[in-house]
Amino acid sequence: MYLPEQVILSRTMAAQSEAEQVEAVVRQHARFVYQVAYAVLRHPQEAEDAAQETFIRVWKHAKELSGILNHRAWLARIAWRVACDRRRKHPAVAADEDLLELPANGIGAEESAIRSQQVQLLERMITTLPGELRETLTLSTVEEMTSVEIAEVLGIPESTVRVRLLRARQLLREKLRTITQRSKTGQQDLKQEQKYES
Amino acid sequence: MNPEDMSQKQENEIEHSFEDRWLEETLSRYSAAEPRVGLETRILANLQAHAAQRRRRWIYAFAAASAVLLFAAAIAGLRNSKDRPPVSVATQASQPTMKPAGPAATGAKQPRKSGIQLVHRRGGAVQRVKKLQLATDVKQECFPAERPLTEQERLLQTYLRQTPKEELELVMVRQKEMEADLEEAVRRSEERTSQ
Repeated sequence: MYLPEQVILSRTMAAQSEAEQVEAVVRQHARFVYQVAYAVLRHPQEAEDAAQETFIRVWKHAKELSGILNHRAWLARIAWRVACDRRRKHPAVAADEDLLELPANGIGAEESAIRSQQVQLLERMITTLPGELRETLTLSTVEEMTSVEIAEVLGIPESTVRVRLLRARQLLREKLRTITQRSKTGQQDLKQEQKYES
Repeated sequence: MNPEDMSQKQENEIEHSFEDRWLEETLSRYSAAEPRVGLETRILANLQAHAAQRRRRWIYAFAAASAVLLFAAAIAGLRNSKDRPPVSVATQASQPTMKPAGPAATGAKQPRKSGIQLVHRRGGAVQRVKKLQLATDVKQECFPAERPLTEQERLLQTYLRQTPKEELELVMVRQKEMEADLEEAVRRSEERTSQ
């Protein structure tokens, strides 16, 4: 028997209005919650599990939904905590390359591989940042997340968020410069070797 | 400015802009992972399963609590039936022959099994006829055993409460006179026999 999705929750929850609210929140923010979790966990399946757990907590606190002005920030805070707890309990799991999907905008395999390598490099650079800068920068990478929402998730003033972001980007820029110069030096050495060989 | 310095400066600016561009582009792709298709459906289905599981837990908890209460009630009922003292059996009840007598006896309860029969004559004279009743006592668990009054004792208690003191004294005197007469009669018959 086919059950429309909008009926699934309504049959099980006590109050119709709460069920409808939760369903609306799921449909509107599931992808956003997933991305917050993925920013922390860096693994698709772990991120989905974290998103599931986030919405279970939302369901348990469904009565509070009507009193919350900014659902995104509230969800982001829950998802952030869930993801951080999972990361503490389960060490980082290497993502299976088969699970990583190619972008849908028609980019070729080579370009996709290059981008994947760039993201992995950035990931390694971010792990070298101090904890508070790392957290702030990680949240800022989530699509359409404002500094106000980041401040609400981390429980810090908005001005602190901006200062941390500036500092984090500065550090990343310096690290990138070091890597670039090293690679240039390496390339120059390689050219010289080739010259000598020829 | 030295052309070499100019080119170095331009080179640095280019590098900086490259680094900035690289950072911006890579940061924008950092968390841009897309979930698998149907994420919302899976989340809603999971919530439904979770709600059903929670409902089952409440039912199990309620059933367990009810079972515990029933068990406790059954245990309490069994204990109550064991603790109740066994009823002492009074045997060989005499024929109750309570006859209406003086005002003292008015209102006395009619005993079912009487050990003391009181025959009240008219004029207030009272003749007491005593019959011993043996009641088998149920063995008591403690010594000395506290046991409730027997039927005879209760009747005697009632009689003593209701009968005036003077009448009781008269009964005692009469009893002694009768015993003395009986002894005299026995002595005389023994003398006649010996002669």
